Amino acid sequence: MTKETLVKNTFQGLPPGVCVPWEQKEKELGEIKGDPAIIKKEWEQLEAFAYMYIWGWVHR
Amino acid sequence: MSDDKFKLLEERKTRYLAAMNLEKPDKVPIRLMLSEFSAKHAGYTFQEIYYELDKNIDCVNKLLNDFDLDTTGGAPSLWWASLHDAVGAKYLKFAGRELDVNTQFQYHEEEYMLAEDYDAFIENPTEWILNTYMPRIHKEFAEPGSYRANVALIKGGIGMLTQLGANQKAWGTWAPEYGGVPTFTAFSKAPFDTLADTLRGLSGIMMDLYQRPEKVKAAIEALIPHNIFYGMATSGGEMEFPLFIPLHRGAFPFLNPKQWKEFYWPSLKKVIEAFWANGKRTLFYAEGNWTPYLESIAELPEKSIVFHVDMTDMAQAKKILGGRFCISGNVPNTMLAFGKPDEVKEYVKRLIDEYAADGGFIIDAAAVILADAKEENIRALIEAAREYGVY
Amino acid sequence: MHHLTDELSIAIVGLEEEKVMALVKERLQAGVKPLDIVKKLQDGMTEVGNLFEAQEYYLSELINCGAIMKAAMVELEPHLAGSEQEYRGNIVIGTVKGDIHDLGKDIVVMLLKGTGYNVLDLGVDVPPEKFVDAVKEHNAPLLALSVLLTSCLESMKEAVTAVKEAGLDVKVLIGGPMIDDKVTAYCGADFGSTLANDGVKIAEKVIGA
Repeated sequence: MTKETLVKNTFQGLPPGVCVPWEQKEKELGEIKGDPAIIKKEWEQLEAFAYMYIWGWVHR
Repeated sequence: MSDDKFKLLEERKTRYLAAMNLEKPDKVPIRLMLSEFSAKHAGYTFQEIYYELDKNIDCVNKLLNDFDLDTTGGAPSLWWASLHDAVGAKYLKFAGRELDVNTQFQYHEEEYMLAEDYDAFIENPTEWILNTYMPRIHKEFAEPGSYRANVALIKGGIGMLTQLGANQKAWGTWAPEYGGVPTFTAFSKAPFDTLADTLRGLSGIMMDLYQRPEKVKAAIEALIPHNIFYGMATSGGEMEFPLFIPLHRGAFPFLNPKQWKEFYWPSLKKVIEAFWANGKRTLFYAEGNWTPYLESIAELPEKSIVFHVDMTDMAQAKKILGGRFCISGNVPNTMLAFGKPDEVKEYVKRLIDEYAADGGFIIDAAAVILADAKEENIRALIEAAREYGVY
Repeated sequence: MHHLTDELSIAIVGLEEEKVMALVKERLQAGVKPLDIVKKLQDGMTEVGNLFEAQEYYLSELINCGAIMKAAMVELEPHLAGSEQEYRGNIVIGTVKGDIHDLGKDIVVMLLKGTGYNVLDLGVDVPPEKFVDAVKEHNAPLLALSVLLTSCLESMKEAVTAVKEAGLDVKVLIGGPMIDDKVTAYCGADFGSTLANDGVKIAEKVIGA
């Protein structure tokens, strides 16, 4: 294993199931014209999938 | 679904659930983890079942057709070699590529996480895994951001969903058409094992215990919520059947008793208790010998686990855990490979006579059944369980 | 606990890495013969093997001790050049074909090396003919075969058969978690064990102390 692959983290202490927190995304989206709850729910669902993909390579 | 298959499914399910709830079912349930054995039985090479999802799944169709099993572990190969190739995963070696077509897949252990990675891992394990660990274990992902790496990520994500979908679809057939009952419906690990198996490796973690014990503890602490989430997420809301935890480095004699109590047990206990609080039981698949730790394991909430006996002393397990948890096991795999059907029958009879009388018992082999097991011995095991296992 | 009197041997048993390294350097500077230092390290290692057998030490202690031993040997190696290290005998070892697990084998190698044998480690996934060649080449009186997967016992049997058929004057020890009398007989081996320290005992029996 080489040290070159060490990369600094972007986030600290993300909870399980989260890769890019909704709070961060929400700031980037700016004004939401419709119901933010729908967008949040959908965002978080796909977040959980990505999370499971990442951790699936560790839990074996 | 035909009426008799539906009846069979209900009978088996009731039997399995009753035993896990410490009740006396009509018969002692039979649960065999038939892995590569089922490839041999179905007439496929290992390469075929590792690489081709339909053949991996078809093995189970044949098993369910030919053997009277109360529960089934699902498709024999947990890992899809094609997906591993798509991302260039290094740590499993598969038949048909690096190994002969009928050689058991194997794990290639390395220190994929270095001692100096602890701080970044503890700070944010999810990001560390993607940024640092994945480029090391997936050759195609070695240069994140490159064309190859991007393609590998796309293929990896699609591949994982494809495999998941294929297995889900298969259960849609196994249950109604064959009366197949799942042995487990979710998966997680002991936090210590997560760190020791794929991340630090055995020699890495063993040195860490002496050289940086505080980092080990902090990493394990950071893993607890993730291992709980992973288990509950894989269960997908299914709560009747257990969650499978294959337990590795907590076996005797990896850690001394002080280390076991300090590093292995508290986090595993928290994870199992969290599952139980959420209504999910754990299949405590204790690989190797766990005899010295039975007293600690007895601290878990009643019925929260099924304790599986591999090389643990069965008499001690029954004495200390019996009446508290369902116990499963432990027909020796060497007997299934090299013994005679009469010996197997005798062993099964003795297990049932000595340990199953008051319920809460499941008959199983000691470990996952590989291709060395003889079909006549598997048949003898099932026959004996049905002959002597009626309450 | 043990009858060791030498400070270095005791430090090895106590897994005191810094002390071990300091003592090795100190003794080298004081002109102690490097081989005598190795001998003291081996005495400690032998005791660690005994403690493991007595279930007072676990794999964590054993692996850690192996790492300390390795570090000490790195320090000693340049000084050993030229001085003929006397081994108690040659032992060929490896994990059989089809199996790439090295944990059990490595522990046995560590104990055998640590107690003064010349161990020729062929690694993992070793085909039968390589065992035959190595036993011939090194005129080894003992061959040790390791296996973890029950499905590789067939390949264990093939390796034993190949060695026996080659008519070599070698005893074969097989080791792995599922090895019992039945499996030993099935494979045609002379000795079988699940315990790492048995490797040392059987080596003593076959080769002599």
